[in-house]
Amino acid sequence: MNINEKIKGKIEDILSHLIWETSSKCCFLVDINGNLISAAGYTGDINTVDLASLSASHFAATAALARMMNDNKFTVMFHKGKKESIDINRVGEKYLLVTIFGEKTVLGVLQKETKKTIDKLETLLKQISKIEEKPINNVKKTLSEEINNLLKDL
Amino acid sequence: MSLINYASREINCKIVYYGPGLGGKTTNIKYVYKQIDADARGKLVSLATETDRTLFFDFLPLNLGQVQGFKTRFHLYTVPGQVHYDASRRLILKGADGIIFVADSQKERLEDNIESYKNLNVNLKSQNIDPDSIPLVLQYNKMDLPNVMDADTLDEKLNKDNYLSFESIAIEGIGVFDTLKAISKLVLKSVSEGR
Repeated sequence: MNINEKIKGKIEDILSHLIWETSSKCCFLVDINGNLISAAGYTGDINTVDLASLSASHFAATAALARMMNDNKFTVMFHKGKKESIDINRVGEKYLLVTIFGEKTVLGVLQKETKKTIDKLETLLKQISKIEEKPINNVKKTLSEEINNLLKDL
Repeated sequence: MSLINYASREINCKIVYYGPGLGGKTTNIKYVYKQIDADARGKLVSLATETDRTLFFDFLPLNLGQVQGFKTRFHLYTVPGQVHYDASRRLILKGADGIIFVADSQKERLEDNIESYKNLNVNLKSQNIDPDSIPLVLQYNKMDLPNVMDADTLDEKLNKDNYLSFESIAIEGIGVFDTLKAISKLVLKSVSEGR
């Protein structure tokens, strides 16, 4: 999957708007393979890489359970904590929206705004499949050397 | 499939350690974690049972540096090896860019290795990954034990497609980085050339 500057900026705007409207702490767009695509809000002490991997795996396990029950409609996961809670929503087929929020957030508002955010993201993310840039347009002859240098300290 | 972020010029690749239960997949990843500088790696996340058997996966992110102007981040995952965790294995293979197959070289584990290797092929196909085109290397682990087969015999039994293979004693770190380097090289070449 390829992401460019323009799309990244738009995703960040959409996520920031969700934080603003819902008084959530932070939110993340993650792909179903566990890669973090974008984050907004106060991520502070949260390890965003781990969060992306665990959310995607957790959601994948839940989706597998849903399939076992012949129900493909598990689209939301919600976990309530003492001070902070986490809400994970499917965005299209390939992405997840993860929102972390506290007591300031009103659940009804969160649900309504999350739905709007998902619609906006789905429209935007359809464009990603149209990005056809290769990681390196002309692979330089130094590729092997660079990879060797990169790995030499391992 | 790797995530290529042109905005932040980052390439994220997923490497999965696959193989039969108690073969040394988690030992590999724990050794990598111990040896790599703290600023080049994230936390090691292990979802294991009380007896330390992998229940879902182990996860270790590594930041290696730049290739052709792109920061490279590797996400290392292990799968649970035990036969009955097949559903979990399929989930973890989703989006994999490269596989390290960790075989247990003891004679009595040959059937388990063959079974797990077949299972890998089936599960890759179930995730729409072509087993013939994904970068793969084999690691013959536990070579310090007395009842092991030699690498040539293991190649003959397991490695009919002539993938790169490495002997290892993961618990002492022998062969761990050779294997990781080999798969990293194959994955980076494959991603950089847009394959």
